[in-house]
Amino acid sequence: MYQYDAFDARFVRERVGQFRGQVERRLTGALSEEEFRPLRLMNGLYLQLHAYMLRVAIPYGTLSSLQMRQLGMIADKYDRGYGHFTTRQNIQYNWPLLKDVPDILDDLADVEMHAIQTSGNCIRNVTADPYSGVAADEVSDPRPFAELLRQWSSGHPEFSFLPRKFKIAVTGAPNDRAVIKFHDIGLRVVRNAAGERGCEVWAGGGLGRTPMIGVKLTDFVGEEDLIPYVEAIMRVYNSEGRRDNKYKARIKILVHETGADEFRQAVEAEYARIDRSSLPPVAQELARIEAFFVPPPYEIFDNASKALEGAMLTEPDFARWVRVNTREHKAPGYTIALISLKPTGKAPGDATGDEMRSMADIADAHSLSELRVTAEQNIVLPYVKKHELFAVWQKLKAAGLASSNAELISDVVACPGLDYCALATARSIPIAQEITERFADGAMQETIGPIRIKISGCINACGHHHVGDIGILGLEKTGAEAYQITLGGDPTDTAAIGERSGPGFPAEGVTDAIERLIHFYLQKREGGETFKQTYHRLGHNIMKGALYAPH
Amino acid sequence: MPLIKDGGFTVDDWRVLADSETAAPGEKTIAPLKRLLDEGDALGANGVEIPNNASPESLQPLFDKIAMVVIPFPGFNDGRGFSLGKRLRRLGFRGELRAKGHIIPDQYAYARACGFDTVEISDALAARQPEAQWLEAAASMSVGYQPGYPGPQNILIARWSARQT
Amino acid sequence: MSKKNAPKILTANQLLGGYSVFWAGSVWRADLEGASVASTPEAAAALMEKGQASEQANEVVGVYLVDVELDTNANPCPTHYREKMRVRARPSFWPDAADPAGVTPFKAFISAEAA
Repeated sequence: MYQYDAFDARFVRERVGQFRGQVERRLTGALSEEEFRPLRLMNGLYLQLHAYMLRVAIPYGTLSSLQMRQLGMIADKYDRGYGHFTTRQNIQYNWPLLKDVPDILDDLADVEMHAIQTSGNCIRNVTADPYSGVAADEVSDPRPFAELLRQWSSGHPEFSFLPRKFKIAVTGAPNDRAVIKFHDIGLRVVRNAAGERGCEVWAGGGLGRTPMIGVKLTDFVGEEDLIPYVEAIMRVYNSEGRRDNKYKARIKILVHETGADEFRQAVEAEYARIDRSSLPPVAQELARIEAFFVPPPYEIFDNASKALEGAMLTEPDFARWVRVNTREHKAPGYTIALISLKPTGKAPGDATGDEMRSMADIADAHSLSELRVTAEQNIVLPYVKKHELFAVWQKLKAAGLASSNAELISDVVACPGLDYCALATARSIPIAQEITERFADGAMQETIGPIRIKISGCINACGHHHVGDIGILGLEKTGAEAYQITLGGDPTDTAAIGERSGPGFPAEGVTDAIERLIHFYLQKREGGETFKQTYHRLGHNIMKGALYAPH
Repeated sequence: MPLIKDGGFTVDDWRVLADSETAAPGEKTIAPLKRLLDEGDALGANGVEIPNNASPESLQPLFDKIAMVVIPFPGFNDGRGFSLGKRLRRLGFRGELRAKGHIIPDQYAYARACGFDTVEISDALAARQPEAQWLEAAASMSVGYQPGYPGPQNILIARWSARQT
Repeated sequence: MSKKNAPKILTANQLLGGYSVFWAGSVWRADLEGASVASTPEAAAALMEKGQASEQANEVVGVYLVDVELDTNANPCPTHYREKMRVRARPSFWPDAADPAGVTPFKAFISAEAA
């Protein structure tokens, strides 16, 4: 993975010093709260319902075991012993004290991490496919592009006070696992007819209160031209994006109101004007970064492992975990293993300091000391030898981390909701807990098959409910929490925004409604249909009816 | 009003023309863009204040007549002025570029990187955030990643140069 | 929705720690012990003024008034579920008695700055 050079290290360390000074100036009153707020947000620090919250970036979701251990140390030393992995490859601490935050940032800098631009109206943490570099279907590892963009966007003098936040995601595979069509800019690393590498560029997607699928700006921009092209998009947005209404300030509104063609023309015109003489060769910098991402020297194995097959036969629980929680690796004899942070009845995405250390230890022993973080709030071991899977599972089981539910019904995505968040209108986590308890049975989950349940505690949609097969949105209705259910959302290449089902449900009615719907689907499914396939075959109106109890 | 230049507070030798006033020859005066366009050479102003959503290309014909462009920052979180400054510099404006309004010390390096020479703030702001804070903020970052933005040492260029030797 | 004539208490977040706090006569506290209750719009405005002064003094941020109802002992309790959760100072799924993370349970404290 990428390692800081002296410049990166100096940049991050100076930034900590800068924030330390800003905190001091806030405490003396030199900086008003209004002025301090965007500065602290650009260093990841929110003020939430009960306390401050610090959001730390895990750029493109890649994490070393050393870094994971440090995250656990921070959870124990400065917080309440746990952290929350988010839907955008960040980790959040829920109880830090303002006075401790500069020290936390210094501890992060010790392991080449930071909280820079994890919030605020700037370019946020750049996310990527969590299976980057190991996915069987990958064209090119997207992480060097993401790292290039991370550096380019860090402390950008021109684009740090944008109309609104700005999120970029990169994938390097034909199957999109980075949700590129729902980002302000989505990039897909591709090769053109001449075999040159570059990016397909999407813009104007987003969730939030006005969900929109992005538009494709270009089929191909060469890797050498990527930074100028992104700069052109940013400059058009910074100049033209709406600032009169914060709910209309995202780039998706600009693209929508301007029209895709006219917006594309504005970007192309700006792109043509960019002075390239001041730019050093980007391809060289990309090559420098890429050297950190060369695949490890894989050992040569048969793709089928007798040891694995044997253990699966004798241990049915292990066999289920292998079926559910592993994914195809590009190297024969290796696999991608998912550690679910969705044990029955727990807060989705939370991990204790001990659990973080356990995951780090297992990564050291079995995954080349590397881990990944997914948008589904789970952890990935990207380099597991198939014949070591049983040992991995036993260690995970001992640590309480062997839930076999990846991408099944109890792998519920949920924002922190009103239990933590100052913006939330309803709770998310207790709904998720109830769903995981109701559908705890492993065999039943496998029968139901892949399904995405995503819960947001307000219309800002941090739980990505718009792209859930079943989306749950918590609102306030006449002084009580109420939950609106959407169906048919899809974050992948077949991108779709979930459609509303009808009247909402009180908190205690949500899980029953979902259970009715799942029973209906199981009755109506044909052959090996997934929930999504049955939904599309029967249509929204028939499926939504099943949510409601018969009169 | 206090003016920050090259990292320190300094005296402003420009003044803003009153509503119906015209400038004396040789005087450094600033007028709104509308007056400059309406009244032309008769106004005598050699500085102009433009809205932060002005088209930079439309100003290009004025470049050889004006030595000062003022861009307002209605709120410190309104970053349009940064892009407008960058675009004016790219079009070849070589006079003084001034950011006026609510700018905080933490943005000073960004303003300079986008082509601004001076920052004009209110007395109240200067009292709360005195010169020392501007100097300290300006020096807080010695390196930066973005080529084409003057200021701190550019990391990409430094890496590139290191590879050349 | 805030009701004009409902009794109100004053809340904010402590600047240095970030914890939610409630105004109790002359100090900020992390619980509702001795919380000042404004029963009239005038009293509420006066309470808000105290909060803003504390904000100006960089002790707290995000001051606002919370609608409450009074129990039989005249102790205030927020009417809205959001504010009820805030008073409880922990996620709703944590038990009352302890902090499941095993760290110090929340303690009522008196803000040092305000004391």
